[in-house]
Amino acid sequence: MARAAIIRSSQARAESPRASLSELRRLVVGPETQRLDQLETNLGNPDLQVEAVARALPRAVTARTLGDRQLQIASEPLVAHALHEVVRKDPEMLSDALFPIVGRAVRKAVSAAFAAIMERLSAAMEHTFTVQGLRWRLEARRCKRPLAEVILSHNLLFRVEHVFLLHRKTGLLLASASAASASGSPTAPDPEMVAAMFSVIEGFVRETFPEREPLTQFEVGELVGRIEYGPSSMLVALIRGTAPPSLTSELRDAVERIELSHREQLSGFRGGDTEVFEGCVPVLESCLITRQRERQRSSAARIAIALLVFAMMVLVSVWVSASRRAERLLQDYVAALVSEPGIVVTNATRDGKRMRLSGLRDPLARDPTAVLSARGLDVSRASLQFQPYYAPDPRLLERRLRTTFSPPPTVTLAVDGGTVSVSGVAPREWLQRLRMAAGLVPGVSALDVHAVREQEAIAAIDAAVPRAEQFRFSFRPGSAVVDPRDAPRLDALAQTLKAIADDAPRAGVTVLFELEGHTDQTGEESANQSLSEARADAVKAELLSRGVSSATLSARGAGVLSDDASPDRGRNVRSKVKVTR
Amino acid sequence: MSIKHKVCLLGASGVGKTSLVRRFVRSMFLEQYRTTVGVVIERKQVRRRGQDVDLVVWDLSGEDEFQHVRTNYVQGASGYLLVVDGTRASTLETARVLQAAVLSVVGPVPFVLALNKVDLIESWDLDRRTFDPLANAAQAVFETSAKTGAGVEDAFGALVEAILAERAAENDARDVR
Repeated sequence: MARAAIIRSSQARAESPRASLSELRRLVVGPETQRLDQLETNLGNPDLQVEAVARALPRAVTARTLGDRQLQIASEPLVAHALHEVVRKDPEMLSDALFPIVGRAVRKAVSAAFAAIMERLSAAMEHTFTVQGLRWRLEARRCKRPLAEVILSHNLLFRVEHVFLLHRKTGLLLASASAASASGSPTAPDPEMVAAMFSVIEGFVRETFPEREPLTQFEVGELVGRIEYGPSSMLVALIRGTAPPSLTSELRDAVERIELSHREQLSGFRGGDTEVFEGCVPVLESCLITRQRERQRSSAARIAIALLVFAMMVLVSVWVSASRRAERLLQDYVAALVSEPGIVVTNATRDGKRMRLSGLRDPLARDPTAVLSARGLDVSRASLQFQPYYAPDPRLLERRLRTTFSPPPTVTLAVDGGTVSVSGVAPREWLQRLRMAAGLVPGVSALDVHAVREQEAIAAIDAAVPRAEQFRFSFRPGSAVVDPRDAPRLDALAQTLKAIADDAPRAGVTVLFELEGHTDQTGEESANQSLSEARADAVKAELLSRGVSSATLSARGAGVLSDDASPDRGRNVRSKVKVTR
Repeated sequence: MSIKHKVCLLGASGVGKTSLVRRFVRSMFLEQYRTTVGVVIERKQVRRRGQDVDLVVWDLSGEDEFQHVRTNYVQGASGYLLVVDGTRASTLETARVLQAAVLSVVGPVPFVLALNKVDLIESWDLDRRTFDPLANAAQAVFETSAKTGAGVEDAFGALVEAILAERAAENDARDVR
């Protein structure tokens, strides 16, 4: 109990000074402590920190940016990353945001480049002096446009005939405008159907080639369609002729203006009332541009030009017909010459009224002037130059052989292809010359002389036959033994017969020698017949032994020959020769 | 005042979409157009609620209905006619798939269900279990015949009526706000 009282008493003693110290502290540094507590609380509260930073940040950024570039450098990756994310997540948003300015920026750059080209073109044009050029130059000065631009505009011819404003999502036609002359034409399309068709085709192309640029141009017959796209709409212009690139920027400008003025109506359109887009019609109409190349000329100038054109046409037609006539005449000259064997025309030209013809001519061909005269052509108008050559023309071959070999009148020459056939009677020496030299004549491939008869051989046979037929060999009565004293005469006969047989082929004849045996009148008839045969055979054997060919020699017994006047009274053998052609 | 609406004609191959639209309007485009880009476009002006309405009818080729509906072609449609061949139950299933696909592209726009070939009604063959949900989702169901012309004008008329009613309701709601 006493212990508890002690503890309580010591606690009371201890509390009393701590409380007084605290009280003292509160009195001395109370306001500071409160501010410290407040600061601590503020530091622990992120919302308050955000407010503080938000208040200070603009000034801090400004101060730092003025100081150095550290902040820009540090923020670059952040900004780049953020942009990249935006493009990745929603490219449409960025393209929609940029759409109104991109067109203008690009156009500005392009027009700057175009202006530079114009400047250069103008400089080049400065030195061309024509009436037309002068007029364009004046126009350029009056309108304060570059000369090249004026020239370009005068040379372009096109007309924008229809302009359609389509809603991209529904494919519906929102508004359209047509050129006055085009809308009344029978071929004017139903804008609603045309619009739907564009929409289908555009969608089809977009779906088929998703990676490619969208359809921007197409051709329908002589019309060219240009398409310009806005985020919600598309503008389709149907153009006749060749439109300049500047038209594209006009169309793009129109789309941009429409997209800007009707942004909400376009993005919210789901079909229904299209009256709200009536306001776009003037913009569309501003795209119905026409450029014409033709300028008004005075009627006198037109007549003068027409007359000039007519006169030129007459002159041209006269010149053309004269030229055609001359050309035909030249062809006649050429045709006449080439129809002649041994003449080749390699070059034929006209020089005014004169014809210049040159080529090759075989010396055996007819004189070209004679050829032309024969055809009734005026030789004095032709200048002819022909070089000699050998023509392998078969029509010239016979002429060439006759000139080279001068054949005797008894000889006939025939040419068939390259084969030369000779017939008739010819001297031996001429034939030998022909055999040796015919192969050297150009165009001759073969020589056929089997039908030709040698003049000397014929004469030799004609002389030898009577001599041969004079021979007669006598026999003793009842004997068929050749008299040994007849040997020299047998030699002579054999020689003659062999000579005749030799000459026969060259003379074109065949010869047959016959030995005819005979008896006198004594004795029996049958015995005499046998004896006559035996005598002929004996002489035949003698002649065979002397080299006469058995093929041409025959022997026969002719029985009794009543010839009392002769010394042998018919006891003999006679020689006979048969010559056949 | 010019009111224009894009409407689509959808359905399986051979259900008679083209014949129906030919009944409804004068044909304008050549058949080869369809074979190239898969759609034929027709135009018809109808008078409803005292105003002329221009209908641009996109008759979509039915050849690839199961692969995918060309989203470009249905996009922006104010309504559509879903065509079923009454004699072929399978075309009802195709219609159901197509309706679901279109719903995902253009949202809940009005559509009318056309049960075509009513001239052959004795050989009809439709499954009620597929038919009932589709019929309930549709603004109206019509029995049509491209052959006799029965119900064709009514079906298109009902579609236009539904589109106009929907737009009128939207305008009223906007005015109240």
